[in-house]
Amino acid sequence: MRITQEAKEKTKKTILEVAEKLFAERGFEQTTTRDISAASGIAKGTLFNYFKSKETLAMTLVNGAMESGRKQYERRKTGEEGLVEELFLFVASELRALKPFRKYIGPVLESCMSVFSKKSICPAGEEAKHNHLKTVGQILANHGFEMEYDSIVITLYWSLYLGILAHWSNDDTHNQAETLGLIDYSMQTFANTISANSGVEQAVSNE
Amino acid sequence: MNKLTDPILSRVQTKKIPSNSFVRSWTLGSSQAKIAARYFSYSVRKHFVEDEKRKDLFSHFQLQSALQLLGTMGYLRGAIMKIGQFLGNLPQILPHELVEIFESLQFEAPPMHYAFIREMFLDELGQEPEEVFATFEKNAFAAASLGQVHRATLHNGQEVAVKIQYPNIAETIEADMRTLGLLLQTMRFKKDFNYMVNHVQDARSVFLSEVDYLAEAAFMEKNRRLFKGSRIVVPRLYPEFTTKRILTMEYLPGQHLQSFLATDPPLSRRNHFAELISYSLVHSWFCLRTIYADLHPGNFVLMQDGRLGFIDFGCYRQFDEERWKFQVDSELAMFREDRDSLNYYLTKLAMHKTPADLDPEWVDLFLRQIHWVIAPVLAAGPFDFAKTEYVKQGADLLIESLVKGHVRTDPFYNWSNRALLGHRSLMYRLRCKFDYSSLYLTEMKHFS
Repeated sequence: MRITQEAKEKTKKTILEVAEKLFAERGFEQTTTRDISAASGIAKGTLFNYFKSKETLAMTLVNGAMESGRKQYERRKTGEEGLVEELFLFVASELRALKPFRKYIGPVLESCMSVFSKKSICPAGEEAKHNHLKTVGQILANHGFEMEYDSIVITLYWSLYLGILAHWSNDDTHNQAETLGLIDYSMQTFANTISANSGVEQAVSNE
Repeated sequence: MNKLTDPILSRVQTKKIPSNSFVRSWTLGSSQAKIAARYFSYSVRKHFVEDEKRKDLFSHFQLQSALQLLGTMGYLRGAIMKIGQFLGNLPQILPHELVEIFESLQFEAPPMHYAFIREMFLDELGQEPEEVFATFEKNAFAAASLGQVHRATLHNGQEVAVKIQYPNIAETIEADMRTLGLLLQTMRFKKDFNYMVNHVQDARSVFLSEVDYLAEAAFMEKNRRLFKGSRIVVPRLYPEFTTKRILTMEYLPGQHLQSFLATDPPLSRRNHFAELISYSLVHSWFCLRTIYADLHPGNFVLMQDGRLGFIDFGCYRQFDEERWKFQVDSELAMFREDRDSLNYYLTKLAMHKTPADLDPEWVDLFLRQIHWVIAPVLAAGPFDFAKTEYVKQGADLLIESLVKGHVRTDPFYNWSNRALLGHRSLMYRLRCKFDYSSLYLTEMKHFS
């Protein structure tokens, strides 16, 4: 029997919903692909037709949350922000949307977004990275910086961003307040670096 | 604000508050090293210049050092900044340029940008500032060691001041105190080491209690009731917009001390506000048995209609029954100059078994300090708080006690000393002369 595209999408959606629920209830480590497929009412092998691994499944959830964070940022920005403030707003909005995944974002990103994992490409991870950096590029352009996607500056930004995510996933301070400080510091460092390179002094200003 | 400090403020503004002990020690250490290097440069150069030039050189060194320290403190905030504020209370012993810069810390700490504030609001109140309030000013109008203050308007039109705490400040203070503990370890073989540790632990607990705005709000309400109907105005609290890290209170229009003094007000007006500041301190001392340990100019608003706004209740200590009895009885013994009783109280204060254990040098210094403190109470009629002799004597005593560094005392009294020094400093800055004795003794008679 031929499965329609619509049915495929429906099954994929069910798997994602079930996985999110199980990750939240039992924890990422304690949830197996067997648990997810059983709770979704499909065979374990079928699950792998949709997602290569538990990590890529979780990355799809993370990608969705990052997209929702970007929408939040678009809604919240006033147009009056300086470069540092706007980058801060973007990253903080995204982290807020990612909050339900904070506890297990470490292993997920390690397998799907890590700079070291180039052997097997994770489409959801690549898509998340691409969309995130596209927004960063737009923010930079709004403040007078034109950056190529694969430039060293973007690599610097991405390293800082992964550092923020890594810190945030283990941040035990109240409401992850320490991470807020780290985002601010990192974005300021980034802005200082690019403004020093390009000579656009106004970029570092918060005004 | 001194223009010289602007580049430093903008530079420190770019730095994250480091809460890790190692980073903080390193930052402080490197700052001290820079100051030491600068002093070395001054010491070499001073031999090659004339007297007048030498003075200029020294002032320049001091100013640069203060700026360096300001940069460091703005970066570290937390407890270190509190120490900076404390130094700002001592115009008698610090050169004028340094006092102005330290004072700026009370109002002009590096600010958080608005996107940062919005995140704090979402975390604390679940809404954006513009959802909570009808209007909200994006730029802070005042900043202090632990937070910054924004003006806003409630939906009913009431103007409010919203104090927002720097993120992670409790951890920052903990890290400062751990650093101090580590530094103290080098002195662990000294005979009074344990007493020294007591002082640090006490300071830690007081500074940490200051990070809870709900506790501050409760104490502010208590004071509001206490001063109701007087010329002291304590702002109204808005508990629905207050959390541990955000405090919303009525906005009180007026001037802070520095801008008030810049208008060169007449003696009568200076005396008026000096009396109100003294009343706020003395009345709460006797009535609530409380010490305001953070008595600096930023805590008062001098209002156009002559009332005094009392706006900060974060740092205080409360006497328990035993300490209160000790305080009142020892104060009476001081006024009577009853040496035997005083020896008894000093023995208790220094945690000795008998008066024979007391260190005579400490007793002598302590009694001279007491005489300095109670001089305005013993004066018949108006007391001139700006009198050079009185100010100099206080500064000399403070330096002597800092040099001798007696630590074998109950740390609780550090806070009353701090309050008294803060008070005398404010009185000196106001160059006031009024009958403090009547004010004090009337309150003492009523409430003791």
